[in-house]
Amino acid sequence: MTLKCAAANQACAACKYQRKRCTPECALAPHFRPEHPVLFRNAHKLFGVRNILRILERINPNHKEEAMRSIIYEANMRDHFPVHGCLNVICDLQSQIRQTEEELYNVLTWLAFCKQHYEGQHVITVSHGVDHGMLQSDNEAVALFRQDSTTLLPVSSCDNANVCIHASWLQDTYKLSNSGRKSLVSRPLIIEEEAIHDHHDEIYPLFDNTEAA
Amino acid sequence: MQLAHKRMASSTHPSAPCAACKFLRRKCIQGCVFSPYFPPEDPLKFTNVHKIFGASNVSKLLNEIAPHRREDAVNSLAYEAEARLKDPVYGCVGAISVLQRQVLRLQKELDATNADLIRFSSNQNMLTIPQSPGNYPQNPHALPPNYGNYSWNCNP
Repeated sequence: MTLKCAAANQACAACKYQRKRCTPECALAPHFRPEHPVLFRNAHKLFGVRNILRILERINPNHKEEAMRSIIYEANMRDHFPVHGCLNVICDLQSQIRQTEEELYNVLTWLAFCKQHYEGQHVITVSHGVDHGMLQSDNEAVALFRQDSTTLLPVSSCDNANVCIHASWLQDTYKLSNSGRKSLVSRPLIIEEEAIHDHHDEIYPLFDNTEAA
Repeated sequence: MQLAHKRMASSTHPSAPCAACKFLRRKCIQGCVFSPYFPPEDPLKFTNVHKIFGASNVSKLLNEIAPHRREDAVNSLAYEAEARLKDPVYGCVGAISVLQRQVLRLQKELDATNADLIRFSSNQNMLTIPQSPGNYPQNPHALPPNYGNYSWNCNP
């Protein structure tokens, strides 16, 4: 349902902020309800009205709502994190992925070792104390596992849709500047474009109400 | 006359104008807020940022940030601008969505694997498992911290 300013008898947040009359044709009214002025304030601060309208003009009308939600999200992130904006979120997520993958690898290693250990004990029991199949050391179990580790870890940083947010761009983008601070190094962005577009339909269900209280 | 004017401009600011002032066709003065971060050798960086955010907004943003953090801010804006130009609908938020799904998938995988390990251990009554402190996680159910209220599918 589209919120029309005339029907609501109240200017949308965009027109209210700009102190102008809100007409039924207002392009921003559906996206900036009057009860959430901070959303427009942030979007206006980062993008500006003209740039938002320009972005909306360039895209398929069916995707306008999605685009506005991502614009609002990006603006809110910039408000929360004035220096890094959405990059803060991306770096955190990549760090979580690395941590979880490492933990998964450790658990899989341990599980494989336990299974190997159990099999070794079982063989000994069956053969009445003969030392067949008993692994001589823990390292052998891990070595056996590592030979097949790629098959035991189905998930990698690049998923089946070939989306690679190249970690190297972000891992290596921090360097020590002359003053000893870490600073971002601007590098060419590498995002697998086709995968992002292919996921438009998949991304939609993840959307939730992005409006701040 | 024009040449003399150009000479005068260059005498107040001997280096070449920054990419921002070159794009905006204005004199690049000393103390230009853009010049440290938009070198003339990389005009595309400012072009992208200006297309998406506008020079005025960027200038206001930079003025609100401490000088030692402005380089990071500009680079993050350049990243977001380029992402938005490549994907006008989602911009860099598309990447966030993909990463969030990867995190969820990995966490499910980890949960399932931990459950397998516990099930296997209890089934086999493995009371004599040699301890390998380097490999076994202290808390097998420990998950990496959630991003909390800033995830893309939650309220910001």
